[in-house]
Amino acid sequence: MIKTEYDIVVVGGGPAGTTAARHAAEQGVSVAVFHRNNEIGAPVRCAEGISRFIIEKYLGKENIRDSWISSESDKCRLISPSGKIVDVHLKESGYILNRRIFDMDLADWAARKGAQIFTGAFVYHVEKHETHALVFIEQYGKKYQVKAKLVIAADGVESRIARFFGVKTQLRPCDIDSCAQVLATNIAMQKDRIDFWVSQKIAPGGYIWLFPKGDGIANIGIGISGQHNGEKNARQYLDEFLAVNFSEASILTNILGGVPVAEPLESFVADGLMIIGDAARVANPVTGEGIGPALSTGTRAGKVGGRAILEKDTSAKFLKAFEKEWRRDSGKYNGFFYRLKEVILNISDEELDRLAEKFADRDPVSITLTEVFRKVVWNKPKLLVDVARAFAGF
Amino acid sequence: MILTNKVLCDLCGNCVAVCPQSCIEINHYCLKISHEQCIECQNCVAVCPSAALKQVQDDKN
Ligand SMILES: Cc1cc2nc3c(=O)[nH]c(=O)nc-3n(C[C@H](O)[C@H](O)[C@H](O)COP(=O)(O)OP(=O)(O)OC[C@H]3O[C@@H](n4cnc5c(N)ncnc54)[C@H](O)[C@@H]3O)c2cc1C
Repeated sequence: MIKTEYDIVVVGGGPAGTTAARHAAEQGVSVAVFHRNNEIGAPVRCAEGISRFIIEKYLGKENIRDSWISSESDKCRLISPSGKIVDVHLKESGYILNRRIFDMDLADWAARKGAQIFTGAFVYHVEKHETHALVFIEQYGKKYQVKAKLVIAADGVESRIARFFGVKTQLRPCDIDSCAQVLATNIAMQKDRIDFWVSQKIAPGGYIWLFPKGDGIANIGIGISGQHNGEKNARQYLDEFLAVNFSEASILTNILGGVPVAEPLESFVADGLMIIGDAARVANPVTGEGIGPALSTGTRAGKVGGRAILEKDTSAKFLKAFEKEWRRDSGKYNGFFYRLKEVILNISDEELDRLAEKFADRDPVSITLTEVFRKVVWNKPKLLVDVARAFAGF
Repeated sequence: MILTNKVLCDLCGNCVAVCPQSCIEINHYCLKISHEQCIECQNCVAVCPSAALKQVQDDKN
């Protein structure tokens, strides 16, 4: 049953929302999560890749379940417009998750710690008052009004909830990647390698990825810059790519989606409000990785949010602690990645081929992502230094 | 007026993200555009991954 009052209302039951809910509930405060879809974890609008280091850091190595992981990769292949191959061995291996199960388990975990999760529950309006917020919910045709001391906006790429508090979250079309993805089987591929095709012709201002989910089965998707998504859209680009490269594939799932490839919001807080995950625009603007940032913002917001309730101070000033910590630790390279994105967006196919050429006949073990990106920005000295730092772990 | 093709729309939310007027919402499994507030900037059309949104001539004009 939906109660009339909670200390904290979380909007959105993705990894950011349920992680925040768990950390807050652990402190004994009352928490409700409202999730619009009828099912947590579906549809999966995600290629499901995450670095092992990040997932262990935020969820704890001992808590990671085998059922979350579809496959593990420590190799990465970059394919240039004319088909030249650059193989890179990653220092840190990555998991391809099974987000249907992963998201569901994170929600279950939060519930076991005391949070109440509601599915099919759409938050259509929020009214801000001096000491609290009124949250308006519609669930299966019935309307509810809930009082909350603190609202955590974890509503993903749409990020509408923060707008009710006067925070401008709208993205420019050039700061969102328009995506289409299939889960396809009968795919000739290597199970422990993720592949990327980079070319302005087949994926303008973006790339195509193949993330293995198991033997012969993979997430294959495309993300193109919103500003190039015009005459031809993401779905059409992907269809053409599949027809040329994987004509024998069977498509088991088809999804569309969007990744905010923006700089993080100027502020993640307002009085009585915290913004986390995709809603705060914290995904990596180059790689589109957003699960890790959802966990890192969710963890910190849940901890600080719970404390805010216990200490009876939900002012922006108090809540800001979570944002400061995030920017200092996890978010310190987001600005750099945003600038790198601007450079990558404008590389011509000829230049990409020339870059790939530089790695011909090299042993993959000796090639690092740092080196690849260094060559990409060789004529931008300012970015060169950042590349070395930001890719240090790869 | 911006119209939605429900067959093509996957409710991904890209249009909601870029709407300067906040006049698009996904209410459960239904995309709703509030035409009174819409300024037809076409941001939503630009970022839709499957051309589910289209600008058409308004009847009134
Ligand atoms: C095609 C594609 C591929 C991707 N691949 C990767 C990848 O390989 N690795 C990676 O790390 N990241 C990837 N991402 C990004 C990643 O999926 C997101 O960053 C991540 O899901 C963000 O988590 P979140 O909890 O912030 O939001 P979400 O997971 O989007 O959850 C937010 C939820 O809130 C719900 N909601 C929204 N509004 C309301 C409302 N008003 N009321 C109630 N509920 C609401 C939504 O229905 C949604 O389910 C990809 C994204 C796309 C589109």
